[in-house]
Amino acid sequence: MPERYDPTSGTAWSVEPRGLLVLPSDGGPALRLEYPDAAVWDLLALGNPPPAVVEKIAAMQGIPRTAAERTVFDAILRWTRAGLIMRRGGDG
Amino acid sequence: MRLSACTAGASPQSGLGVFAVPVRDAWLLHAPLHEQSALLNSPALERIAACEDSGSGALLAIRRALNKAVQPPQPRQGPLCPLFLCLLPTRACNLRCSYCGFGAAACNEPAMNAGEAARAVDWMARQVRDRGGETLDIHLFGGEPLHAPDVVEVVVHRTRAAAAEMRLTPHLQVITNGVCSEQRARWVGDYFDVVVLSFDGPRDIYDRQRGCCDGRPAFDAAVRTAAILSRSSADLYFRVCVTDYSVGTLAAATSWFCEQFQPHTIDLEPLKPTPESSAAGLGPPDPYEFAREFWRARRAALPFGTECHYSAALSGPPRLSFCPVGSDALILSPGGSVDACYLLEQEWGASGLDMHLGSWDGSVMRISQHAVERVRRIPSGTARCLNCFCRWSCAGGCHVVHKGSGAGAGFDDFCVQTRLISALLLLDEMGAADRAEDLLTDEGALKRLAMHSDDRLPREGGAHA
Repeated sequence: MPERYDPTSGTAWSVEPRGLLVLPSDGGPALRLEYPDAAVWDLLALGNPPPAVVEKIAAMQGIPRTAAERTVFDAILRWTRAGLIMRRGGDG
Repeated sequence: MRLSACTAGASPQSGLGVFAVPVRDAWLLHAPLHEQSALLNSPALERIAACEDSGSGALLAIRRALNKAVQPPQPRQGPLCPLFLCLLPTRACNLRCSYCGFGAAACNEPAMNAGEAARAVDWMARQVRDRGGETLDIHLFGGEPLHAPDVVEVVVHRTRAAAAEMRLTPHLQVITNGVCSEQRARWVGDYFDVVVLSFDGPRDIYDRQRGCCDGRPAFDAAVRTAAILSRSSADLYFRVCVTDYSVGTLAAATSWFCEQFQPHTIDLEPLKPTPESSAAGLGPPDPYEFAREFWRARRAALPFGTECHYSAALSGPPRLSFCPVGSDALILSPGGSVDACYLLEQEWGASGLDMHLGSWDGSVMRISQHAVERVRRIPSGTARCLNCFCRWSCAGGCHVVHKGSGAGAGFDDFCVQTRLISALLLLDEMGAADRAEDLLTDEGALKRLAMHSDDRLPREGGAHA
């Protein structure tokens, strides 16, 4: 199974006019995500593996792949540390 | 005599915008440019036609309203001002509907490049911003757009991101068959403002007319999607292809749609015959039966607050085209062609029309103003339309399919159903649903209305007997 990052159990989110509102499962403060982070969250939640998310963020933002990688992996790091998403599958 | 309360607007002498059609023993006056409609008896109509300013009350008010100068709708002018941008992420489809003439099931054309699609959205957003607009209106059509999910995901997020950057309101619309995963259906309901679900009716109808490319039935997946969408924030529309097989069950199907899914609108459109539909043994409905069943479906939907719609019938102000052609809408195909029409080039080409507006190479939109002007000036209707009270609503129907067939000849099946439904809707709007019901029980009256050869008022030589 390829590496994926899913929202942790109990984490909820809603689509807002200018992005997303994420409600942590631990009852912590809501996190407002604007673009492009809102797209990263949604693409991960849809089950896209990180390389596919990178490709789509690059296409969406019209930026080089390396810049899209930074956007995506920075977001993954922050949200993993905050307990909002967790890794599934992959080799490591 | 029953009159509608209306506001103003040419002289009947112009023969341009005042019409009357027979409704059993009465006349339905319709002056769309003057925003006047009324049900009149013959003497009242004679007085209107004779331009008599005598009389009193409502009749005099109508007479005076009809004397006011009005202007028929005009083609757009000036630089390109796109109404919306419609992307076709793919021409391919996961279904093989019995009547589909798009060749979608056998399409092997590659999907649109996601990055190029996103840049087209950026281009459209700049157009809207630079003209002081507020809404970034992006439509997705196909083939089946969700058959290219990667492109759709990128386009949806690019639309929302560009709108946020330029302080616009994003408006996303998709036309889909809804045969997708539960997760995808929820996603569509979360992100789209309007979802038009192509869905022909309950299981027996659906399975007769639609199915997956691999032969599996698609009904259950479509129902699941419809249920998810009905609980979502998206406005749910059904687009129903009505055939000679399904027409008799239209009211029952409409009730089922309303009970199960509470749609915003049900769009009932008769089958346009294709070689594929003929091979499948499906034909268009009889136009009289279609009009009758449309009315019954409309009444069935009423208690649910759902609107039944037929695209060629009256809807809104007078218009030159019943579709987006001429309104500067841009349809972007996977290969980069930008056209004014959803249909395939060979179809409009076969009708002698050129709907091509330009091209998109992923960074530069090349739209020829000459082409824009050419499409804006595609004639509205044909010779037969000049005499018809639906001239400024149906506007001749599809420029490609209808105008190309029998132009200049008498009213055909499309005209018949459009005339009947338009008259029924007018009666309903003026609070005369009972007269509409009576009309539907009178076969002869229906035929007289449908085939009335010249609705213009006043008529050469005069009298309406």
